[in-house]
Amino acid sequence: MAEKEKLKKIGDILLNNAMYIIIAVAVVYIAIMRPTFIKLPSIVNILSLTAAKLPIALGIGGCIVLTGTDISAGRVVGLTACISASLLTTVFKVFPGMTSAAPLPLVLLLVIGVGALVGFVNGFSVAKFKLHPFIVTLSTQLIVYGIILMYLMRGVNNGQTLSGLADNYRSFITGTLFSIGGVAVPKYVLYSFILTIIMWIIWNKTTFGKNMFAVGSNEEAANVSGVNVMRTIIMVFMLAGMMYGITGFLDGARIASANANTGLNYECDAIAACVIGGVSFVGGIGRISGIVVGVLLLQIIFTGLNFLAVDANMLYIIKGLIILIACAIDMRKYLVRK
Amino acid sequence: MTEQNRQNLEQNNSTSQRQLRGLYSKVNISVKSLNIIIIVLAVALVACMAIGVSNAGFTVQFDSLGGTTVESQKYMYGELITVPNPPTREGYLFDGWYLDQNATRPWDLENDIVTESITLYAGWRLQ
Repeated sequence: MAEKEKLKKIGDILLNNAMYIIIAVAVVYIAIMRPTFIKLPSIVNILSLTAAKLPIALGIGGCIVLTGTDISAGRVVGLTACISASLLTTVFKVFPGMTSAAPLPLVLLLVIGVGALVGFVNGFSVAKFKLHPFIVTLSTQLIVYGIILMYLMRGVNNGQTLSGLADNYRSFITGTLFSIGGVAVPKYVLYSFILTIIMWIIWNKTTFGKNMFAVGSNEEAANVSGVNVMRTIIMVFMLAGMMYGITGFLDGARIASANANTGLNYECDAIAACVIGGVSFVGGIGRISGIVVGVLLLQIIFTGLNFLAVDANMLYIIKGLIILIACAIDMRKYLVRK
Repeated sequence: MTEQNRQNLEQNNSTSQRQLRGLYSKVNISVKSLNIIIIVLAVALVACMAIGVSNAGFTVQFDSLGGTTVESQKYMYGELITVPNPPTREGYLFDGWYLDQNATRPWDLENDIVTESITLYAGWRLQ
């Protein structure tokens, strides 16, 4: 009997950590096949890309804690990246009347505001009309995409990719923070780190954070115990929107250009990262550290597959399977927990 | 109450299984089936990775934009592109490969490495 119990326990551990095991085995395989994968430049590259994708995942994490989701995220990143790239540039195609680039802090505030506005629309519709976040954010996703396309048609730009960014904008984000072993670590890693700390404080140390988890695990109970459910939901979505705005601001300079496809499918990666990191669709469960680990693991596996020259088409299938497995494990963990 | 529902209810009671909440609230599944699903999906994932690795290689396509055709090639990550025969075009001089059709972002054959599937466009100058 004891033997059987033991086997069951081992089976439990194997199944609950199936994703981590697969990723670990894959990383070992890649490291053997392509030793440059675990060299310093590659590691710095993985960490930088993780930092770049972290803010959007931190934002979406809150929506998932509320048992919702936000599929407008990628397009909001696209819009804010286009706004940043059009204002902080040397060639003013969208605003031909401008002669010099706008001040950095102003543009940063503007894109955070734009993100918060879209977040407010999402949150208000979800909280007030009890609509499912999926349908609300689907429509805002399309609306924002339309706005991006129209914005890019403004002035003499004619829908083209925005580039020729101002030097101070680029150096503010991609400038060297410090070098290790001759490999430069870009400044946006620091910004991402700061955002993570801020989000950790919001999630764990504020009343708003506690309310968010209460609403996520049981909306009615939260309401009865005096939590302002509507305000909490709106604030979670607005906070997420601000994070997308910051991601867009960083992404414009990081990629050195912005167009209608910037940010496409970012929300898929972010949602996948959250679920892998243990932010449960059950609601009311999730940790910031989990999100960081989720984003990092996804980045490691996809950078690794890229090193093996796996075709981009196959990567989509792999990504889809990873999300399915993560959800199945998520459900399993909830069901077997006593 | 249909027969199915009753069975489900009995099953739930007998195993005292927790009901899923949130986005999964409509999901009614036993741990056993979940185990099978996880194993099947994990096998599928590993299989996809294996297929991807065995067909590894990024395709580099060459669009000569009216010049003579250059065959597409396959490269592994981090390799340099070598083009054996540059294309020719009546009345034009070939001035290298570019990442865009308007010939604004040149591809440096000696330094740029392949990191994804790409299409390179020929740049032409009037002769």
